[in-house]
Amino acid sequence: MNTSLIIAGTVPSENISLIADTASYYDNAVHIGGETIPVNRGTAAMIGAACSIACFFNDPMPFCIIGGDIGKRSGSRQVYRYMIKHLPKIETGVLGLHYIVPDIGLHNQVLTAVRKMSTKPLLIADAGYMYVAKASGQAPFYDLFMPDLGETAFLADEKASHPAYTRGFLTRLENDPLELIRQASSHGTVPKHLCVKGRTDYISVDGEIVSTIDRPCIEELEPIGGTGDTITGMTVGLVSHGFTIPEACKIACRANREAGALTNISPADQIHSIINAIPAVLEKLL
Amino acid sequence: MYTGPFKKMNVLAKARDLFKSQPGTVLDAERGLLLYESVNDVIQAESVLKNNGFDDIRVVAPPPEYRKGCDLSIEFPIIEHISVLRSLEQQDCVPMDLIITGDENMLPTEICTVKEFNRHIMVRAANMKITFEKDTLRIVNISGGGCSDVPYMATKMIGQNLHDAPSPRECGFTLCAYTLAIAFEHARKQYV
Repeated sequence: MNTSLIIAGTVPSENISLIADTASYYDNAVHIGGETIPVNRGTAAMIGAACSIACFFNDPMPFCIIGGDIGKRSGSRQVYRYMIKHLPKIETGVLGLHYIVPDIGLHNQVLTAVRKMSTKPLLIADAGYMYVAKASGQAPFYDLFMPDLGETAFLADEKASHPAYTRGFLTRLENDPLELIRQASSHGTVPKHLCVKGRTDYISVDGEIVSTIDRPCIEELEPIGGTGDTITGMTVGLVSHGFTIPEACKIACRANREAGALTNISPADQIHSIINAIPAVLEKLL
Repeated sequence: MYTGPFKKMNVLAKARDLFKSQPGTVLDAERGLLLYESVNDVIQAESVLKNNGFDDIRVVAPPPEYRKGCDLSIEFPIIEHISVLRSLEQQDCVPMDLIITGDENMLPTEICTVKEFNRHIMVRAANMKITFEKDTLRIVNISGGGCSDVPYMATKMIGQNLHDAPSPRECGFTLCAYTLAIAFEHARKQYV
């Protein structure tokens, strides 16, 4: 199989078995393999945003590997195992990895499968997949992590295996994101590129900040579930289209903010409002 | 949770052996760790032990060689091992394994921060955030996290009042659920 973008992750359902198929987004839902998955947050939101990018550029829709999982691990294991079995036979430019229950052993087998691919894709990780990538000690094999500030403190803590264990002295550094990025980069617990999502978004390459995005400032985006996921979805779509990683992150972070402004978003709104505004804000930005 | 008889006999027998054959080691170590298959099992066992009056227990990260990436374990005073295991056995919560620990263990965060908006309040613990209306206490959003139960917990909790919403300890399964529970309980304590 040859595709430009693969997204792997889980959605909150006990009724969905493993699905590996091309996705589309309309009517506030992701449509894949005969299933309609509401976009409320998480991997569905990421896929929705990636589909919007593909639609905007008339690119092929992303191929998605989805497991139904409410945290009991079974769907996550199906996703890991599909990738372990099939990735060596697949060609893709970008592999976006998202919500999943961390399992270091299975993660390491996925990396072995990636190493067997004819060309290594760009590896972009967020959410549970970023946690396990860091906990495994193999973060430098990846190309981009997309944490928020709390997760950046976790990445800067060489001892923590999950954000829940981030030590207090690093949590207190959240008002100094540049120091957190510096510490994370010096510990070798992050890839070459970081996109830190927050009140100000920071894009770094090898620990050096190359872009900051702070306008428009829409405070109401922070409590809305999925606003980080849409940035990740747009980024993988933009990288797959041909933008460099720093360019894609910069556009995605700005587009998310513009979508919040355009929709006059409130903390009680849901993420499909942002996804639906992506085409309009891309028209403005590109 | 594994509760089969073979495994149960193994861990109980192991505990007996530990204390018979290495009394010096055990006394020096002072703390033991109960290991389980999943975070949800740990949450249940913690609840059993707290309800049985074991106040000197705490949830901690298991040692690196036991970690999968989303794990909790229960640290307890080794001197209480007989009554701890008996209480867990009575509630069908026998651990997969019991080990002795001498090192300082990593604790999950309990630090919460609060941010106010016009009509809403957001409480955050580590990577998890819960947002609710000031006037009605209705939960309007759950965000952050990366484990698979975060979107699931959101479907169960959003729209519910802080009084009535299920705790992430009940509807979640992972460390993200455990962390969200800390934010949820902080919100309840401060605002309900």
